[in-house]
Amino acid sequence: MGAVLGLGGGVIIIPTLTLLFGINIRYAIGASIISVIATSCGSAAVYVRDRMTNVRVAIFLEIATTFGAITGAVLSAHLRSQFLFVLFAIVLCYSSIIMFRKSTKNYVTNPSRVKEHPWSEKLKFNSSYPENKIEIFYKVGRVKFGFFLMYFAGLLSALLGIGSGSLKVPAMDAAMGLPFKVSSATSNFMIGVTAAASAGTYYSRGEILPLLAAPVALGVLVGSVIGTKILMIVPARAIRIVFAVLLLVIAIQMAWKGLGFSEITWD
Amino acid sequence: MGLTKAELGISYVLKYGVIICGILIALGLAMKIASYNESAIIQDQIAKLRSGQLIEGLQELASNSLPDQLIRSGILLLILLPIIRVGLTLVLFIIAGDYLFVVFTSVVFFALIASLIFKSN
Repeated sequence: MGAVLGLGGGVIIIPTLTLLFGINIRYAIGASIISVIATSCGSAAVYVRDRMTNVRVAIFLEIATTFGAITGAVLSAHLRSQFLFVLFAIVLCYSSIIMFRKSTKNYVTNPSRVKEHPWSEKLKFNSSYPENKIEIFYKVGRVKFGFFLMYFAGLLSALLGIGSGSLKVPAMDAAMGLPFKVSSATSNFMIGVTAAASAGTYYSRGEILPLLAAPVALGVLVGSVIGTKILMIVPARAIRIVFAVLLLVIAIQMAWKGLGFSEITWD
Repeated sequence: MGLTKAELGISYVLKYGVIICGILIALGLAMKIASYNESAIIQDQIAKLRSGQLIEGLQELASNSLPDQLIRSGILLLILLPIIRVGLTLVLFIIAGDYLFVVFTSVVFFALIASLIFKSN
């Protein structure tokens, strides 16, 4: 699924586990974050091989994301479950909107219009990637803003157990001016690291239930293999539209649960 | 970007690492399921799972048997993989003499290790 939609599986896993199976959201988050790591690591090779991943940008921004994630993971112990449900619903709505927009227009960042940030040269962010046998050079802008955004991406990732790709990619793409494919690839690298930071915290708190996380992770691994095969048959656009609607429906259900209209486990 | 070949190697480490985790977890789960028929206690726990007390049921099923250890190892290894990736990238930057990024990567690396080691309650 992640391959087709550019979304991590977290947005599906959490609602399924909590709404369908009635599992406490904390354990659902723990299980989901493990799957996020699996997806990220499994697909890393493809991005690096295509020379899309910008390692320096990734590591630099990862400083912000990792600390955001640790903050989030620590914070989540002190937050009420209902708050997490509502927050999740908001992120789902946002993801849904992004998906609608993706299916209706193709936006492309024009590399030559990016205003380079003074740090980009010193930190060697500017790079290039191959497309259609041409090397496309790009520069990186608004580094401080991107850094700031990444802290929040990390925070949300840890609080909700998602990959936050839908936050990271636009941050790099629209805010910092990285080409879309580079943003996706770099985001893939970062997602795994961020998830590991959250997972580490949850693990040391004993909030990851092996017997729950294991089947979920396996399911995701198998699903991603099937997903790439489906990608070859069904047009991505149709899938995106269906998914955008689905996300909205799930968002409403999550908000419903969070706002107290149905029975919730208190913790 | 002379880093790319090495980065490619690292990402293959990740890919095979995930496969190993998958095998560990699958093996552990399979063994666990295979032992279902052997114990009345386990039957009782499965009944709990069915009746909707999923978490309690799963917690009681957990033990220190070999299948569980396999599953736990698989999960722990999965958490370690990105940390390993950052660690190897750190080595890469050290070899390349990029001291600024050695600092950056070290910060990320040690933050990751710390999250795993320190209990945050």
